[in-house]
Amino acid sequence: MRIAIREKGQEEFKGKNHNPVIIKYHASTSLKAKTDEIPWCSSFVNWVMQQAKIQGTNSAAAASWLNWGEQTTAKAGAITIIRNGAAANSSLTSSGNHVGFLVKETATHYELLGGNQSNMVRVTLFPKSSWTLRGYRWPKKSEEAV
Amino acid sequence: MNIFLRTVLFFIALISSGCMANTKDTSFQSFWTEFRAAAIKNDYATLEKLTKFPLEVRGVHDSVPIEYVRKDEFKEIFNKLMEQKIYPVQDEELVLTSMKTIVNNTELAPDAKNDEEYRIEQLVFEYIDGRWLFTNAYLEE
Repeated sequence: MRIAIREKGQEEFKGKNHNPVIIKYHASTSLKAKTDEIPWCSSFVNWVMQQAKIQGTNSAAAASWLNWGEQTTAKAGAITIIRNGAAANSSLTSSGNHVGFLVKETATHYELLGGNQSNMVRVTLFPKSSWTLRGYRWPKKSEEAV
Repeated sequence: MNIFLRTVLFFIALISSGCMANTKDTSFQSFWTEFRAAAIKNDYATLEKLTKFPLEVRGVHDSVPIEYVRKDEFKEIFNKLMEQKIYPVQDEELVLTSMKTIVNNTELAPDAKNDEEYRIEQLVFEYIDGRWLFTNAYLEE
């Protein structure tokens, strides 16, 4: 989580330029996109995992995290996959799925630290009225960083 | 052109480009000082003068239609923007606060990621026609 926190504030560049840090996040997936316009939430989580020496999914798809590691509860730092059909084909997600690190689950919101949230790495409060939880995941014991 | 003259011209160009860069940075700081003071005092008249209309307000993703805010709608939207919950980082921890508190506590403008645009959490400022303006914002609910 600390690795992700240190990235807070990284944002997309306006116009034709692309933030090289976001391209670096993309490099941690097989897609290796070269623009910061392609949804990068999963790339960000993969990059954080890579820094923590934990094998990620290598996929730019948020849903790839559904079968990664093991199921867990709503604890801080859990990789959280949520879905909102209305958000499909948007700047955030092409599929409607989104992934980030859980800060907190409240009665009304999933508070996630993630990439590509309002075009930057930040904490966003996703309302439960529009976003459905698909899973909380945690690295398997054998994969946890030492 | 002799070497002396070339050297002098080179240094003049270097100094003036440095001065221009400094002027731009300084002008955002003075803009921010004025904007921040107005935001703290809820001085909407001054805030409106520092804003480009229509103000573009975006959601967390671009499937949320951009809201184009007119001057007569500004006060209501600006208050919503200020009430937004924000998690700044303090000592490597996320600490829940509001956009209003961030504005109150940010006396010095942070370093810009590029020299055409500043973003302070959910507020975006752009350098347009020789002056800084509040041009768009993110409202996540």
